Amino acid sequence: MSNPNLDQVLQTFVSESTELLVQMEEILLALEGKPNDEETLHALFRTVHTVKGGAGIFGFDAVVDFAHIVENVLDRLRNGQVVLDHALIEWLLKSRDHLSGLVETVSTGNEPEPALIEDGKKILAALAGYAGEKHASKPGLPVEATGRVEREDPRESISVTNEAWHLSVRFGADVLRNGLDPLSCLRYLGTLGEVVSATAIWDTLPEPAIFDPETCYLGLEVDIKTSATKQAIADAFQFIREEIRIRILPPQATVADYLATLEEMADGDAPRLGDLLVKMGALTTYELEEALRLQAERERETPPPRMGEVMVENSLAVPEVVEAALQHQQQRREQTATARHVRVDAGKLDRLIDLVGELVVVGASQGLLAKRLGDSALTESASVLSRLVEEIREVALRLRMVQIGETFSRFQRVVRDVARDLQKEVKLEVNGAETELDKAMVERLADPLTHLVRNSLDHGLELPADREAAGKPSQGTLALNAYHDSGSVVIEVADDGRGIDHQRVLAKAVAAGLMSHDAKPSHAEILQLIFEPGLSTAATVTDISGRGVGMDVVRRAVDALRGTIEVESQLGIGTVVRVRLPLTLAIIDGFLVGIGGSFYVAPLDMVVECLDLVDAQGNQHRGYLSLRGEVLPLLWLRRVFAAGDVDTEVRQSVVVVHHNGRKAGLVVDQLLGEFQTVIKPLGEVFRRLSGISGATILGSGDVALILDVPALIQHAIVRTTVVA
Amino acid sequence: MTIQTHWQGRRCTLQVEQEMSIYTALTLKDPLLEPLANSRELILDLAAVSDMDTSGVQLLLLLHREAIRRQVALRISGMSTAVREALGLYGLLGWFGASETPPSGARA
Repeated sequence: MSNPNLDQVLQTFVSESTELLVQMEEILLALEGKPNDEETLHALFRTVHTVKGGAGIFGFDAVVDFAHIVENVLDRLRNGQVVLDHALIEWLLKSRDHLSGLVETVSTGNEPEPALIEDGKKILAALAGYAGEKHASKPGLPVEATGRVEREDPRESISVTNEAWHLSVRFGADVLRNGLDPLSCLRYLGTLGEVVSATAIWDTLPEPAIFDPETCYLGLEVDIKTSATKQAIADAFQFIREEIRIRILPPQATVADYLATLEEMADGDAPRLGDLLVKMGALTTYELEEALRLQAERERETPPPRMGEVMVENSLAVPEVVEAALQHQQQRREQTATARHVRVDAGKLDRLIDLVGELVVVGASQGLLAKRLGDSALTESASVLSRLVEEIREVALRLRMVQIGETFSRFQRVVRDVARDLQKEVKLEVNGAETELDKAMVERLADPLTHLVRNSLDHGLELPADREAAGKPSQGTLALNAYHDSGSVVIEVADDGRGIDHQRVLAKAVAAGLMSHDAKPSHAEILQLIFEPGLSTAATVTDISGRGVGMDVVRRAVDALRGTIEVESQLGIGTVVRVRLPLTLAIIDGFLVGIGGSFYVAPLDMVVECLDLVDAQGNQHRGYLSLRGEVLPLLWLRRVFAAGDVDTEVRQSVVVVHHNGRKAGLVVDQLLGEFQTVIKPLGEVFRRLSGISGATILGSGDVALILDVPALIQHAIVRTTVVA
Repeated sequence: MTIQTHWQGRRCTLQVEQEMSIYTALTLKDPLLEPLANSRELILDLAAVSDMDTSGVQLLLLLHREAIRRQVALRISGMSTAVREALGLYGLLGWFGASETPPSGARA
């Protein structure tokens, strides 16, 4: 694929296919609960059908051929020729995985590997029984996907020349009274495309004496040129859909379609409405004549239905039509919700965020310069600028926010498959799927979450028999919760399984040398131990009733996201693992301090308070002070960063920081206040510096280093213990 | 009620200086229709109409039809942006012989 445009289209195909296949999986899992839901089966068919269509455009025969068979099965399924049992769902899920593999392979320009092909053959063989022999023997043949309604008269299927969509709308009498204004629909239509012509239909205005100014008597005929879909057009009338009659004809609709519209909308006077359509350019005179002639012929052939009867019939048909329309609309609204989105390359978005980050820095520097110059107009303009930059930053960051729900729903499959393998009964509960967090974070969260979920399934939740013996329902519950909590996002993996045995964890920790014999740690402290590397070897796992597989790996992943992880567990009742993450990775609120001539930034959310060292109680030279009766280990940053001896002239201050429930005091020269900063990763050379996690550029152009508070706290505590 | 009626022989000028919407529709109907009984020429000045919705459009259409029936010449001498937009959306801009500025003497 050398053509960059084609590359882009290919990207779209891949991402769309991936989405569709995820959707397919969701539908299949949903169907497991309630098979033979007709709408859902249609939706299922559409997913595969669309993937096949896309693959066809690129000539990915492997995908097309395979999808075709699956499509056949699904088609028979929705026609009721095949029953959806568990075995079939299993095979369809496998087909989905296979399709996903195929799409991935071919889109990178590779040929499918033999193993993949073998897989496919196996699945196809199994599906052959469901697909019906005729289809199975000849894969790849194009088949008309939808049954077309046979038209009796070929002339009826002649397309009209009108290249605009035509809308025919009649408003209900109470529209206005209900506070809805058809005008706003028209206005909205205007945003969809070019309204070629719009004509009010007002034949039904009554005599002045009985004209009620609050009743709506109007109708509308509109021609609009737009690339919007039919449902997008219909959505313009969404708010009043229950009070209107509407017909939407696509560009170059058939004569028959227009005829039907004339019959339905003209209230008995088709020719008059027809004339109007001609006048507004929706139909040509010839096309109208053709339509009316057809109507006349049809009336002659069949026992003539009186217009009145037709009307009665029509009005009888209305409730069903309305219901069907509503259902469709519901579905379509969901579709358009995605259709309204613009796909943007994640790389471009990152570049934007980067630039905005630079802008924040430059903006701050300009504000500083303006202040220094003392020019009030310049200062004001700089402050407006910085406010705008702030807003851009907010918006840009929000662009990267995605809902966690998509990630959560992936676990439906994991839970189902793992639970089945382990012969456990598990129900997945998802709460707060709409919680948003940074896209980059969501991606990097997938692995640790999978770890946690597998752990819960494997070690937390018991076998049905054991659960019943413990007096619990045989079906276990695994809950994925997400919510916002004071500037951070919290994600929980909770189960109602057997819980973690504190005593055994403690015993293991002591044995592994992580804890001294006489230590009296709290429950929470013991549980936190499961994240220590020493406790997570495979051998230990089985011994400590449950968790442990790669928990240190999980913690490292969470640490890398500047998050924290904690676990709560009660023996026999269940376990909650709680991951707390910052909202975004790129920018933090920091607290700026000065040491010697250099600047350092501590993440603001880790700063508890600031003290004057002189006023503080305790033995500062031995490295601790008493903070309201509590021992606070001190760390002299001057010494840590070898900034020379403390200048006795300068009053030292203490910044109290906390992380994971542990506190330490950082002794600094100056407190410079809150400061919003863009994190720049340190180069490879500095990667191994301890106590520093990144750098940032101040408005003045100076570099400030970002303190790695967790590491510093650890350092302070160890030092204090050694000294004491 | 801010509809001002000026008579000059059989020519009536209606100056509407309020919104023409569902909130005022009930009160607008009679003042708009009444002059038809005695006039030859009805001139609507809608330059000060602050807001117009479908009910307002409908009233104008009714007025238009009744004027034709009674052979009264109906003309709009001025339109506010709101009126222009509403009539435009309904494809009715050309229907009232509307022009931006009233011909000289129309309001004299």
